[in-house]
Amino acid sequence: MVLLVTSDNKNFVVDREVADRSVFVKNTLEARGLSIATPPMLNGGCFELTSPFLQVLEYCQHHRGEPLPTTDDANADENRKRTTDIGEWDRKFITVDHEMLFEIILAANYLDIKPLLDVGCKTIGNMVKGKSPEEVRKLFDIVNDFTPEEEAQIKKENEWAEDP
Amino acid sequence: MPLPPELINRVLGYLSDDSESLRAMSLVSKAWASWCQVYLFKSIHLTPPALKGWLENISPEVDGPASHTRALTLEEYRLIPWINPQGLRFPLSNLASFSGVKSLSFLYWDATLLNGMSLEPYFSHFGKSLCVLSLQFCKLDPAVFFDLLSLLPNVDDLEITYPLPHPCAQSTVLGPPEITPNFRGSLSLVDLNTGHLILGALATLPLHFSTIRIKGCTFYEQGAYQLMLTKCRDTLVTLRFEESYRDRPLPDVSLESCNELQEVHVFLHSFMKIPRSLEILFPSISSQKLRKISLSSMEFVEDEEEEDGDIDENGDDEEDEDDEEEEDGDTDEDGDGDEDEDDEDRSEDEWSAQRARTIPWGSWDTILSPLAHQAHNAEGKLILQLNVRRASQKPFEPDHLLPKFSGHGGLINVNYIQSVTDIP
Repeated sequence: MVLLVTSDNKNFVVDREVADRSVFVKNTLEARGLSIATPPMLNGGCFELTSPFLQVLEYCQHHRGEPLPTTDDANADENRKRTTDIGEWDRKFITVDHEMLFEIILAANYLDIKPLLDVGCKTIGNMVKGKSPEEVRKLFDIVNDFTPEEEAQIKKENEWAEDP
Repeated sequence: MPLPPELINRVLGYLSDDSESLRAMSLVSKAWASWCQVYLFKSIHLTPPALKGWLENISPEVDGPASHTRALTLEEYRLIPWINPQGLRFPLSNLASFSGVKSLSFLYWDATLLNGMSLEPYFSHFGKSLCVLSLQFCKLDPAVFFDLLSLLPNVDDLEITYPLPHPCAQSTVLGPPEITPNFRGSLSLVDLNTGHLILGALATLPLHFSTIRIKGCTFYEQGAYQLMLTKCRDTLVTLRFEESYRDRPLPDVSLESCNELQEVHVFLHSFMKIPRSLEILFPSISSQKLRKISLSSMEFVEDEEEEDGDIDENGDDEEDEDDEEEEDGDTDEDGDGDEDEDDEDRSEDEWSAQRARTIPWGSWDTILSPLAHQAHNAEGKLILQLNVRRASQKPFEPDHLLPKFSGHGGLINVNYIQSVTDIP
């Protein structure tokens, strides 16, 4: 068993097999020879980890025992990028509000859980498909910093991009 | 909650095949524009009029769209006058903004017009990043070819398809340039029968390819191919021969000194017609690392019992061996050339249909005889991949049907295909 402590001081005791879904936790445990890993605070300590961490734990428990992706498997990475397909369980799991989705992605990225990061990013990819630039700005809280001339230049350039 | 740039990039990576979405996303903000254009301009195919438009519309800045291009194809088609009546040419000196190209392909390019000119202003900016050079249906001569290669020292992969000879090309083989590419990747040579000089020039260079693909070969090219194979003897891992012209045997080359060789792939439309192809190539392989032989054919295969019909379904091994000997006799008859003469007078479709013959597994066993000692040497680690067309739904039993190979410990994997495009 492994004790995991989140940045807001909540304790979670999980099986080693579940904890090892996170490459960050796995490497930390192996490097220190300890059974306790304490992820440091994110974003200067203002990040409340407990809430997404519960979701992340649920994901890790469901996928425990499955082979972990290897870092040198470039082809597999390319294949993952070619599709936005998401398995049924993962799709239901990741059906959360936007705020939670972003938090799960950040947590998966920090804890280095590549399959969960893939699911989250694919979900975002599916969300932005077909959306207008203004809708995407709203979704990601982005300010339009184009001048009309710059926007026209980008449009003109994009006409020269090829369809795959 | 905003996502950091590396995660936005990851999301856009999933949309890399969806240019419509990427175009829309690029209008979100300046930062998103630069991220999206990495994918939008990753691969660019330009013709002379398109390049003119490109130069008029695309920002020439150092970090502009051209800097994102990794695969650039330039199709000059000057050599096809009815498509390019004005004979437009690439303003090659204006390609400097393509600063990160890894793969450069020329199609229908008349490189001989650059003969006697310095190529440095046109190609030196490709030099650092370029790993793959492809010349397809280009008019080349050895002098320009060498000049080009000397400016591209990091090229590992080279593809030459159907080079067009230039009437004024120098017929004497030049000395190799002082700086030559690494050539540690793959070499693909397709239908070089009209480009002997280029092949001869290439064979004079230091070569370290790990993969060589040769499609189409006539007697005249064999010497150059042998020289290249010998030069790559310490690095060659995968060799692929593909038939381009029907019923041309494999080149008579030896692989005796290629001790790193692990895979050999051969595609012939009909192994039955030219059974001697394997008899020369395979016994010359001395590599102890050989692990895979892949043979692909457009012939159909079928059990002898089903083809003959009158053989007892429970026939014993002796009967099977007799049948194989009969089929062997058929093989010899095929080799006498009569059928070839008939075929020459037929249309392509009729010819293809005629060639899609059904042959029994017993004949394949005979074809595979030259591979027996390779299977024996590999001590059970050699896999034979057979890509053939299926004539019946009967389960395949390799140990029973191909004893000359499997009897020596070779493992057989049969992949049923429908057409050439199905060959792995």
